[in-house]
Amino acid sequence: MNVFTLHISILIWGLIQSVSGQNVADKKFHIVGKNENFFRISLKYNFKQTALLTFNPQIKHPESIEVGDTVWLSKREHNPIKTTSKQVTKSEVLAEPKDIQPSKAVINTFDTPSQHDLDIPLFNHPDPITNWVLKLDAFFVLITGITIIIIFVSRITKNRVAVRKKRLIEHYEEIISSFLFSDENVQDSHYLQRFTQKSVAKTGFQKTILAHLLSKIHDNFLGDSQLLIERMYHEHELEKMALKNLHSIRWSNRAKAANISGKMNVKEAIPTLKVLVSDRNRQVRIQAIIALIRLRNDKPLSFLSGIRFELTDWEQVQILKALERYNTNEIHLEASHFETELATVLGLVIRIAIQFNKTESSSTILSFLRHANTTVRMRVLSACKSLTYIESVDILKTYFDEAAIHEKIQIIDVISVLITEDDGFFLNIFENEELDESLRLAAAKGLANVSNGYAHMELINKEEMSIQSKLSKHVLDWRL
Amino acid sequence: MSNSESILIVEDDELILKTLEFRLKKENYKISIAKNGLEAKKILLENPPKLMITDLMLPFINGRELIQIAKNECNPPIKVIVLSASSQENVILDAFKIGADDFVSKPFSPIELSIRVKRFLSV
Repeated sequence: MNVFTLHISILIWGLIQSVSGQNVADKKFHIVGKNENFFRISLKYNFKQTALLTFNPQIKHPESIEVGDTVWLSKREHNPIKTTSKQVTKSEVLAEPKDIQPSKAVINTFDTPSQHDLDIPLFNHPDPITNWVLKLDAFFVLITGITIIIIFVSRITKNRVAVRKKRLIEHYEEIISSFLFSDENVQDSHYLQRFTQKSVAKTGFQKTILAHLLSKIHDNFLGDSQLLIERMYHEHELEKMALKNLHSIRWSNRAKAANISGKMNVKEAIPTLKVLVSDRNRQVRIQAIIALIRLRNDKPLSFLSGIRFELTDWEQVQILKALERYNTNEIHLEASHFETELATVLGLVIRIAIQFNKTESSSTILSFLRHANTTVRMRVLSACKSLTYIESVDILKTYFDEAAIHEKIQIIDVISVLITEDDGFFLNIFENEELDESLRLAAAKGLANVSNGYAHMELINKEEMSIQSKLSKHVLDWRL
Repeated sequence: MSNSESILIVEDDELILKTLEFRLKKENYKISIAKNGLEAKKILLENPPKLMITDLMLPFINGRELIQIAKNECNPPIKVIVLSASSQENVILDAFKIGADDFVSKPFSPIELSIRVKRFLSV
């Protein structure tokens, strides 16, 4: 509060300063008073003497100006005013120097400026920089003051809203608890109507809080209680708010709306959620995907066809978790018939397929390897590596003969991760001199990775091959 | 049905706390509540209940320490049901290792919890 008072004081002072500064700037002429000389007047109005002289060509000798003389403070382009010093007697001015009123003196006693003179702009000031600094000073003080007032008012409002929110939460918590575990028949249609009547939620503020509480408690409960919470949500027509928020500009609103739509079984949200799986925000995308899984869409994986971006590892894990938790039925069948050109999605589909049905996944992987383009094939091979399912080895070996040379190298690499002991696969490739050197080199690396690879070391050393030294070095590097 | 067995519910989520309190009060249990570990410790030492339902992640003193207090510093030892969002095997095993009598993972069925409570208090 002290800071606030200080700021207000600064504001008032600044305003006074700026107003008084303006008066000085507005003054057009000065009547020479007692004990004043040209130098003092120039100091008083912040002019250089030479500048002041240019405004007063009638003053030939500045050191000899007298009391009552007029000194002009701005340039006068038309009708130069004659000096009027002779029209006021020295004795008159000396008699009552304090009563001299510059404006009155001009009007009543001296030759007054013509109407044309008065039309000269007031701010024809000789020092515009000072003038602007004063204006800026006033402006900034004013802005600071307004900002402080806004902060002060917003803080009061925020506190009031917080108090209101707290009361409302307590009120809703009581009602939700009592209705969740009532002795009454919850299937009775009047039961939920009574809940709606008691927990009034008409404004957006009330609806947001109620929806948040119902969502929070929904996360913690299972079974009938969870279903009852969903019914409470729909009885209040809170899904309308969620459907509206799915189109919100703010990503956090879209993500929350997607989350609650999935939770509260808002089937009407499915078309919008399918669009949101390609949202530019990662959180929105993943919430939309999870919501679609929870809503048990016609085909659990159909949302993948809407994806137009590469899924990150984190997103893939989230999808797998959601599928595991909310919907696992028949996913492998769907995955095997899935068509997309997006490599990461395909990799994910294979992971899903393998996770839920290994047998089915073998044919899925082979199908992908035989029909997809080069990029997808490489992704599929990488996906196999991360699966660490030993079944993948047979599939990869089956595909090996059909594969291009760079794929073969990739297959050898994947297999070397999946197996611990070579059954002759690596050794056969390594010993076949007709094969490409790079392929034999990959096989050598593979041998270095398996437990019985070391036993083949002697073979490597005995052979007279162009790549012998290179291979041996690689194998040794690996082993050591 | 009359039942005057006392239960301490320790939970930092107010809504869960209120719903559990409401649910168990309906069955005529005497309920005391604590929103953090410190409050719970005070109740455990000053006015020990017969059963404690506690979360593991709590402000000031965690649920793990509360279990140890309930089992080692209270006489007779207090029965403990852990109510936690974690369903990881190592967390569950650790809770049992330090003396928890039961473990309920969130999300949970309030009816199921109520049955478990009844089973402990009827022994």
